[in-house]
Amino acid sequence: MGIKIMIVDDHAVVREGLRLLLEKEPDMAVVAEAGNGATAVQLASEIVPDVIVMDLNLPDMSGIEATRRITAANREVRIMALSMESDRRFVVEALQAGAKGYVLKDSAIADLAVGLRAVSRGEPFLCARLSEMIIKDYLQYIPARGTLGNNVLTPQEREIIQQIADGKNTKDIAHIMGVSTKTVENQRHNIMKKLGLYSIASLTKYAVREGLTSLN
Amino acid sequence: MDSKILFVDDDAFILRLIEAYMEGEFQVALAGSAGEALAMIETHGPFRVVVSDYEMPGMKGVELLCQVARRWPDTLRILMSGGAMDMDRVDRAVRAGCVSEVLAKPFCFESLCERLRDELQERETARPTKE
Repeated sequence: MGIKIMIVDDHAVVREGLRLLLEKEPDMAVVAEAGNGATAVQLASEIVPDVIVMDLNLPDMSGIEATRRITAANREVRIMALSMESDRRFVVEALQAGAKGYVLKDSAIADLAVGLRAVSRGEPFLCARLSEMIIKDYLQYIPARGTLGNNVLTPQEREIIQQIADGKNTKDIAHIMGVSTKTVENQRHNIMKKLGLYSIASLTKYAVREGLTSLN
Repeated sequence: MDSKILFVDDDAFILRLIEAYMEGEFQVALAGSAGEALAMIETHGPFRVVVSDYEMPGMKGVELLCQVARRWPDTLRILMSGGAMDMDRVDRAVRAGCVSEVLAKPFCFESLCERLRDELQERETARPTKE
């Protein structure tokens, strides 16, 4: 039968349109439809579809609440949120409620089929616009939290710490970088001060953790 | 006039579903409002068929189809109805010939496709043959 799909949307025209489009996919079958959250929760427990396409704006309970109830009752049922709502709080809340994927209604319709396949395999899926938004947020979040220390080091300091972690002594590093040993010592002192790390071992650990060198 | 069909609805997702379902078979154009539809017809029209939702912000679907009837009388004009409608107004528009057909929501996509196929076939048959 392929991927068993249930469609939850309060607009019958949308349900029919989605059903016809998804049934064009050779590996998908729409096994149930629901026009509100309560029916969705009930049908999900009776039919146990592989994936539920869940509109988040429903007339009775929200799609997020329906998602929460369905995934709490059965972790095997995967939810793909489908919404016009691109507000990050909405997206995060849906994912926290148990949605495995989130596709905006202004995404390409073909994205939905791709996403449903991914979600049915248990993989997370976000449409392109949300992926971009989440990645941007993530990149902004990291320096703000100071998770990575690379930004506080100059490129030359990063190179020195990499060489230290690779087991080079001051003289070797000065030779490789074409600077004096005094310069290397001064910069190593600066690095230790900036990072609050005062041993070669802790600098090496830092370099490995931050991807400046590998354990190989 | 070729076989182009213009769909008008303020619900962008419904338009996208219609487009995705019909684009292999028909030349589909989409408009999100009556104003946008009129501008598209002026620029890219006339269209063989205009299918409009009734309830839209600003100009309603029935007003749009009345304008289309006056300016492009050869265009088939289908009104998608649903929810609260001014039935008297719709009836008047149908009797006056402004609205060719009313399609009740939730409509069946396949029925709409069949109707569109029939319309295109009728027009094709009615077209005078070259001697």
